[in-house]
Amino acid sequence: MDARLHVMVCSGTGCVSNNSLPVRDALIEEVAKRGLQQEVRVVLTGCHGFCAAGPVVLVQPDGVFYQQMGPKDVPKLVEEHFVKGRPYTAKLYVPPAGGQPIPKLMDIAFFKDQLLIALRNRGMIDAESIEDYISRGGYQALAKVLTSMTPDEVVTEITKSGLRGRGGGGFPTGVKWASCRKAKGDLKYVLCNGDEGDPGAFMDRSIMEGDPHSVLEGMCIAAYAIGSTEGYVYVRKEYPLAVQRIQIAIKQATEYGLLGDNILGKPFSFGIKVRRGGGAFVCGESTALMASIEGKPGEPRAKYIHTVEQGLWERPSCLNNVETFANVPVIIDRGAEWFASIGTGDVSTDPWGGSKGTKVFSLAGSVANTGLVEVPMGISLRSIIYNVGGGIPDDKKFKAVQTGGPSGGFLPESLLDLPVDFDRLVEAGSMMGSGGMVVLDEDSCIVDVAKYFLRFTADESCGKCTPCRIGNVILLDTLEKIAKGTATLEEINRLEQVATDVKQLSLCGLGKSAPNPVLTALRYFREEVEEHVREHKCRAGVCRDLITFSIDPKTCTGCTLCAKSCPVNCITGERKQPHVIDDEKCTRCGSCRTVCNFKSVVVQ
Amino acid sequence: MSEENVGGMVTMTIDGRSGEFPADMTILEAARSMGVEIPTLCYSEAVSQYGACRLCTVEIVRRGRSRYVISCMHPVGPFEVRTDSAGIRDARRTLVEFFLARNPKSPELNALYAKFGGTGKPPYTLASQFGETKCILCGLCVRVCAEVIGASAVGFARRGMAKKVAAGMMRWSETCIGCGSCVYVCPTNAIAVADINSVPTGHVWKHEQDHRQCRTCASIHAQPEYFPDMQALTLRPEGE
Amino acid sequence: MEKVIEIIESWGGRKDCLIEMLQDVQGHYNYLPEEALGVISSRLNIPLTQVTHVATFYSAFSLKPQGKYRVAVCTGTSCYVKGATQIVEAFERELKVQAGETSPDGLFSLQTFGCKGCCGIAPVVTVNDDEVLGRVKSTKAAKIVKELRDREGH
Repeated sequence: MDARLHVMVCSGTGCVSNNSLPVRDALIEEVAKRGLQQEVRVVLTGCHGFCAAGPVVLVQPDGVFYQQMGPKDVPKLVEEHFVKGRPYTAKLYVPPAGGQPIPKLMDIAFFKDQLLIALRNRGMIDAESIEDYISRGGYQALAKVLTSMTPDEVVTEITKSGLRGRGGGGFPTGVKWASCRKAKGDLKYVLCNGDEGDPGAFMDRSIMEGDPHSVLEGMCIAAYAIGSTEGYVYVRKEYPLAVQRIQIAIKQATEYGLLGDNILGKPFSFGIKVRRGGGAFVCGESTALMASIEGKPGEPRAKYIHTVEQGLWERPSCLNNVETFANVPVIIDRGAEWFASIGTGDVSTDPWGGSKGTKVFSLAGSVANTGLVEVPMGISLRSIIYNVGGGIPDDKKFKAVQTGGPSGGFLPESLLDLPVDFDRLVEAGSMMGSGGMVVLDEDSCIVDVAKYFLRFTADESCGKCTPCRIGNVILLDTLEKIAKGTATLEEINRLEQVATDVKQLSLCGLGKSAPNPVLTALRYFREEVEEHVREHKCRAGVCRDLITFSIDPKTCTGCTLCAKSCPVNCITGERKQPHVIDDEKCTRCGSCRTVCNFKSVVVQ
Repeated sequence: MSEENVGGMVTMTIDGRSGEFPADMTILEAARSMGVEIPTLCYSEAVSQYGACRLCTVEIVRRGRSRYVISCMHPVGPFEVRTDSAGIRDARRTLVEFFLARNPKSPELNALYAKFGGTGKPPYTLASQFGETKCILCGLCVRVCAEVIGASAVGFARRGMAKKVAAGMMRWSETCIGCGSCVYVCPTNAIAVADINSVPTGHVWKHEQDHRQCRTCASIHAQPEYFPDMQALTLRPEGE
Repeated sequence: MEKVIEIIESWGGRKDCLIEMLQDVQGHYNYLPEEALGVISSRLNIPLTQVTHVATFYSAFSLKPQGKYRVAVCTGTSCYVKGATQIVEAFERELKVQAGETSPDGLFSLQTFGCKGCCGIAPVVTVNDDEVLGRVKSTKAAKIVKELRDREGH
């Protein structure tokens, strides 16, 4: 007998660290206590993408969304919802602006405007159950491909769909598959890039952890299309749960005859293994990734001879991103035309002519609803940030949105209506990247965030080529001087030239895109950058050498919390009397501001 | 590189002059065959190409679009190559300026700087932050030791600005045979071999070669660990 | 070095599995002992210089013994804009080590890392990769350290 209620408990890394597993345990216990085991099934699912509201529990088929669940909330939830049949209002989602709780997931702004293709199974399946995946249509596409399509037809379909690489490059997937199909060689590889090194991006993690079969199915279809028998999923070392889930999925798919020898009884064999990264952002670059699989340091090489012809162990290799593969089965199921009807541009004659389908973005920073959002290509930045994202909280003012992680750039308010599209973002000086989108408000300093990204890329540079190794450090150096107010205007002017040189002369994508934060900072926020040097001012109150901390005597209650938290003991004051910061000793660490409950710490 | 017409011949223009080249030739080789000079630092015919220094960058123009590529690795093709455009000359100078940031006193690099139009003091300095070093990480020593000598006694370690040339475990090398090939091939004379008490010593990776002279013929210098093997081969006890 | 040989064999003695082998060695010894690298080099017939490059290229590896408790602060973008820098500084003061170092008593290593992918609960601190602490405030560093010390019965 089928259960009448399915309780989906999120087991993504975010919710698990917020103790969603004890919630699951409590649910099972309570359900058993009330004798409801036959009627209510408790399921662990992958990441819902709404981590700030975690631990997240979704009750189906009602579609009711519960946030911030704890084990002690469980008895009441079971009684109200499972027994009495009404939503348990205390744990329903309440919009940040206040107002009535919203019971249904699909009514919540964060979820309403999303269009789930890559994340279609989000929160709906037990990540470790192949049966769940199949029951939602999984592996139908593979069956269709193996029984009724030739490899060339598969390549044509993917090309017609306009699918472009979701890892950042935006290269037309069908074109890549076609080249690899044509390449000479008996042994070809299908590789999945699960390195997801962009800090702040976790869409690939959520797909690998929450819906691993979607990746395997996509890879298998690719293997059939290009003529490959061996595949590897390369997962970054920081994602052990993803490694685990994929390994389980491979085992299950093999048992079901959906991987391995003679798949579905056809003369087509394809096996997949998992390989781990060692901790290097540069291994997201295709040739570095392949070097890593070969057991070598992740130093990229020139790609004048493409990896589709000579890649892993010099053999033809087709490398695609996790999210790209997750899209493939749906395109086969529903057709290229349907996919191409979503998004921008026209790909009927030119695979580069538009951005089709959807993209998963990792929305972070100063935005009410942080998390993973999948939206159609062509949606405006404004729509993502204000509709889906719920806008800027705490009455702060929007300053910039940074897209594409360390490879991307800052976009100002004037570009908020820009449609999200591979080429439009590049034109504006940024890029889509793997989908990182960080919203910055007036409390963030453009110089400081640019510095942050350059420090990251300088650390992660493999060091092989001169322009990236030395050029990016020179950019970082200059940014640090700007942050201190000691740079000259001439140095700021030269920054643009150095950045352009690094872009043009670097060997690989890391070096070529590392200067983007600097270039966009100069292009759109030059005034703020120069202000640091001209007026020794950091308008966001961030750059430590240019700010002072003081306590507003009017609002200070003398609670002494700040004095206690100060690591250099520079705050003095009697209990219940306004406190004072000794500016000479102050290191601008910000501890006082963190603990003050009265917003008395003033930074200028 | 094969002399045969592998994959046919290609017509390519270099600095306005047209030529026919085997399809598997690199732009650098093609240029040299026409007497066109392209500067290099990490390139050597004797070893595989690495593509690190970027100094051999040229501009290729195809269907109206221009790209910067490195000539030591990019194959010839049906396009126009510009080895001496203003952009390329600026790029070369910039690269040398980058090298000079940690290697300000190098005579070789300063000569290149002047040659590429650099005047006055080079604009960047990272020496105080990261230290001065003569090594430009071209990797010729690494490749020569691995591919020509077969000893792999030196390699790279770390990444980014911390990247350096080092022996195994970054201490001393057990496999170095003291041949001096690395010294010979280094473009900035970063590897020193000094005679200390008639014992050749390599400095970059703090390798002190303890060579002993075989008393018998006085012409063989070998590391002490090899002595037992050599004795066994020649059947002579040590000291003779 | 029996453990090392065991690890080599568990990966079929394959040269391309070098990174995985080193991860297992580090998992066992809490760092990469020099001797282990020598054994791997000779068993797999990979020049020691090549093994050295791999061991020093990837940030997962440490050639020096790490602390029993590796406190790692996420400095990914989401965590950064929520004050990761202040958290690192707070732990530096608390543990009296710089980021990247291990305390003299061998108990704590302070590290930073790029992104765990838990951006919704930023800022994030992990202890020994497994324990993930979310929404950490810099002023809580002392409490976290105390809790770890308590596990040692201090």
